[in-house]
Amino acid sequence: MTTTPTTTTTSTIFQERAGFRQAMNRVRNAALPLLILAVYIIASIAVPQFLTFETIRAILLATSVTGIIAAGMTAITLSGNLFSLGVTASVVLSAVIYLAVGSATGNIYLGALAAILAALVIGLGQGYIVGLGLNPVVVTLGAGAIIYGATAIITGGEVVAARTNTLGVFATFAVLGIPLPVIVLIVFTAVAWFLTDYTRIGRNIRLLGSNKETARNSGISPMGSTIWAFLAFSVGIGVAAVLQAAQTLQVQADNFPELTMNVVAAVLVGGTAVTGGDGSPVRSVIGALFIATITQIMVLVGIPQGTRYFALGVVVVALVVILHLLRKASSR
Amino acid sequence: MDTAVPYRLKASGVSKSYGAIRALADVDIELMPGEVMALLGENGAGKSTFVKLLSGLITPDEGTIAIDGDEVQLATVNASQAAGIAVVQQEFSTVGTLSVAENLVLGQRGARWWWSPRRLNASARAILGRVGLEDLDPGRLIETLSVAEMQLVEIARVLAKDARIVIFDEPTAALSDAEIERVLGVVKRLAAEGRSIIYVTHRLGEVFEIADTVVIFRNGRSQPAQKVTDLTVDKVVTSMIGRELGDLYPDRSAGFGEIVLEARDLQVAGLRGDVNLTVRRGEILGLTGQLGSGTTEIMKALAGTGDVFAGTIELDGTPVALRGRREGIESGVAYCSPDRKKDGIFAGVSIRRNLSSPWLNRVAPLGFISRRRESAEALRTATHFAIDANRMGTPVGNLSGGNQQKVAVGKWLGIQPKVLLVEEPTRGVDVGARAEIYAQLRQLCDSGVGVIVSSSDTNEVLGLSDTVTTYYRGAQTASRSANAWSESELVREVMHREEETR
Amino acid sequence: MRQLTDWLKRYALQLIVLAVVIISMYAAYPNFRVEASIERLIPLGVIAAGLAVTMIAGEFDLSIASMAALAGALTVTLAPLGLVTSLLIAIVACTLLGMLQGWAIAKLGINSLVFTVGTLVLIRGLTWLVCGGLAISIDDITASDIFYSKFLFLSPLSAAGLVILIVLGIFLARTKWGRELYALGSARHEAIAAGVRYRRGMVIAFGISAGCGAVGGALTSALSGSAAPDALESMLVIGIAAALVGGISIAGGRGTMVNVFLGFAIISVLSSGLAGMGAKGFVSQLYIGIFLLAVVLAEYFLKRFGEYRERARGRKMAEAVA
Repeated sequence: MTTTPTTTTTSTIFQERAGFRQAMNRVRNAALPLLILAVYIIASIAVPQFLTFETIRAILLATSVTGIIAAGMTAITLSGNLFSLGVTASVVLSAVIYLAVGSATGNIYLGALAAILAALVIGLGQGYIVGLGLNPVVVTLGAGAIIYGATAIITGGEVVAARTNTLGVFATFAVLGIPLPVIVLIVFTAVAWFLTDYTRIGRNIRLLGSNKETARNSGISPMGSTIWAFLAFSVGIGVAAVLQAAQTLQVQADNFPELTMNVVAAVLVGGTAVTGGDGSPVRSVIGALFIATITQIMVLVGIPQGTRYFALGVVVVALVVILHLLRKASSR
Repeated sequence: MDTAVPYRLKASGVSKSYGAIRALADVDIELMPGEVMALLGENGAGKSTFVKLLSGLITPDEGTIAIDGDEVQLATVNASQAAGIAVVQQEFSTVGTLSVAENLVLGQRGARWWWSPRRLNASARAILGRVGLEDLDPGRLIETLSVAEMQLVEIARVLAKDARIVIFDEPTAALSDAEIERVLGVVKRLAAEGRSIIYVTHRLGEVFEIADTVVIFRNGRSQPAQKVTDLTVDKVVTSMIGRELGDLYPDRSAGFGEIVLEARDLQVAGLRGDVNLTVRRGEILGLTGQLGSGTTEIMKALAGTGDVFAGTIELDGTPVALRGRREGIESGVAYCSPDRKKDGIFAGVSIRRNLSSPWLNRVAPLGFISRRRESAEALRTATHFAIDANRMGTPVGNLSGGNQQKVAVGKWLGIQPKVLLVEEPTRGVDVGARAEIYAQLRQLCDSGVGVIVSSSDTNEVLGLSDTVTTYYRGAQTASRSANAWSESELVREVMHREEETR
Repeated sequence: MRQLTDWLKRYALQLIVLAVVIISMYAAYPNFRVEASIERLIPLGVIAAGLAVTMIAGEFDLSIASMAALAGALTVTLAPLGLVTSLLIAIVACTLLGMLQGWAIAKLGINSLVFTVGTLVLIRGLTWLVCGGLAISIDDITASDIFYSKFLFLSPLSAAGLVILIVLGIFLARTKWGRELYALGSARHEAIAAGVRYRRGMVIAFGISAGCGAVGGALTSALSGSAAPDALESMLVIGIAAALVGGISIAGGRGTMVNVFLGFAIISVLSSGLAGMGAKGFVSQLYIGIFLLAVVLAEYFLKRFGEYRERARGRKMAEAVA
């Protein structure tokens, strides 16, 4: 549509706009980390019990389950397939399997493996259907309903409890006072980041999300990359489910009702582009951290649950809008 | 001309520049009521810029436009429509899931809020009759219509607006002979009603059939209107060509190698008859034809994304079944699409990653990307294609058109292709970058790659290629070595068939 | 007569499925009463209708279930003003909120899916605030007695639901604004180029969606006399299932209120049949999920089949000319 300007006047305008765009881009990338820093600083001053070991530990623990899943879900978002809205059901199923297999065999590692395997299988199915081109929101919602129903029927709606406390080791084990879930979170995030940025599969997922048609023309298989994204996500589900089950040592079919929304909010707040191609698992974990921090501060200050929920909603909407506007400004 | 008769449209001294490029320079055009004026000219000659101006999509830097004696400012699309100008575009602008009648009324100011099918269908029938679609049920959804019917409905939409000036932009590209006759009949009828028609086309047959006058654009300038009765095909062609060739094109090949790609008896959707072509190593084969000629379908077929019903494609003598781009790339066939924004580049991704996208597996043994090797390889390609090496991290979408195209073409270097297919290699690219791209294509070719270039720009095809094959309306018309072509012959071949202009 | 056969052909698939489901229910559960299923028009039917409207416009309103809960909470809280008054205030307030949402989505140019993921939490939070964190109820339990009367098999609630569906159906099929929603959904670029006002369309679509959700939630609370902060959460999935199973296309630009009603009927008969057999709620969730996936997969394969036939036709043409 436009032909390239070659005179100096027009090219300086071009460069100025490029400068503005770059600035906006930098703001967008730095927004959340800076925001968290600001929040932490303000909270340390304003809220008495904030900067204590117990509080930070509680925040990190709360972040771990959501963060691991959010890091995994980032792969789906990067591939241009939006989100999975069936997180809760999959986590419940994996948790049930962990507790059941773990109790039956007495081997917690076997239980964990079974849980992750189950998550992989249901993730593979969803990934394939989404890879065909079907709407990911509908597919994951439907799959979630099926998984929920199946889990509830199999468990009879009853609580599935761990038969021994050894199954709780994954939650109680600590290294230098840092609980295992937090360590797993850090390791998982690091691995996820590495896979997204340094493997061919990860790169192809990003490229697919950036422009599906160009990806196809470049020899990238949309089906292949989509399935890989869902598999990565499923590993996160399995791992997080094990950690969660280890914490509570019992699971029921309708547990964790807010988990899906928390994870999606974490990814959105983290700043990964919903259109695909731009973002990182690290961002999503930071998003999860941000949400957990704000929640904990509100608890400390004594804000009741309803108001907390509302405040969270306000924060998510505000951040999503601001990030959206920043992204628009950095690409004009 | 009787000077007392007011002109319907009078453009005086209209100019438009983009930076240093003069897209339009001192264009003077006068159009009478009831006159059918054909606009001809090569790509980039200025006629599409002029049409955009009249549509209100862009504004002139200099000059005035007057309609029925009053000077108008066509600053927006709305202003253009309010001034009585209607444009029938190439791309369909209807809504598929609504009915024909509803589409005719969609978006009209002052339309009533209650849309009863009976009322809408009745008023639709009246309009449809004027384009020869009186037998069409206005209650049918647009998406159930044939391409020709959709095109006629597009025209009907324009009629519903009761415009004084109707601009047709290549309306017959996808139509059969009978359907073209229908469209031309409508145009004649519109002119008879006293409307002024501007008809942009590449098909001389149609020009000689319905136009009263012809205005030829060349290098941004419009030549004085000539009566169609005073013109012949040769005169038109001679007036159209004459762009400065300059040093734009590199020397042609010294010698060719063995045949690297051969298509035999290929039956491709959208083409009449079989497709047969060969490309040798070190040869640039140019396919040229206008919209609707079939060149796009051939390129897609060779790339593996088209509909091939029969025939064989052989690479280095071995038949290959190209079921998609993946097989194509593995076999060594690189393909650059004509619309890089749509499917040629990753706009939000850095130059480096764009360049490496088709050959990532070569720098990722065991699946782990060696960033060092990726950077090195990408840098090599960048310097080869004169892409600024300091900007390797910039998103490609921020680059100029020329640089974007260099990335779109350059990335294929890394797969060491046997054949490179390029459609419209310099669309949206300024003159400086064009020369660079031509040089790169020639270099690639000289290194042993067979290159097939498809372009609607006859000047470009002739300057760049070793062999040129022409296509017109779905069939090959001629194929000769570039030395044996003159530009006027090329232009003739892509713009008409003998039967049409006798 | 031809119109009737056209109509039947259009909804053939859903009609068949509905018939099959009804027959299966009767076979499995002799005491099954199909008329009871229509009760769920409020809230399921209207929520499905609201979802359908935004889908037709090419968008997604994930916040509709939260809106329903909010309306319910407002109704109960304001009940002392008189039940009818509180209903009206709740519905109007939520509709305005929905229109604001639509305006914001259009003005920001943001993906409605992303935006409503945020507002679904936000509005749910508002509900929490209004409820004060607990389930609340209307003091005067006789106030909702009127809703329990029945005329034939229709209660005032289901009658209201039917009326809403019919009015929406007429709106979508016969008014300029309604048809413009289809245009925006199926060919947005072309529609805007033709002169359709995008922002107005979004305000209307999301206003209707919120209004439908509000009617569903407000009347449900009026009937039961109570509201809870986590009410109607499952309605989102079930509503989407009802809309899609009924034949609304997620790609936009297609579908009618007849589709919504048929989809609602299928899901509702299924749920109430299963409930009557003594199955717990999660069983119907399972079946609903299966139906949902089956429908989208069926749509996909039909599309592929259509493309295959196109290619075959193109091949015939090429062979004929060559």
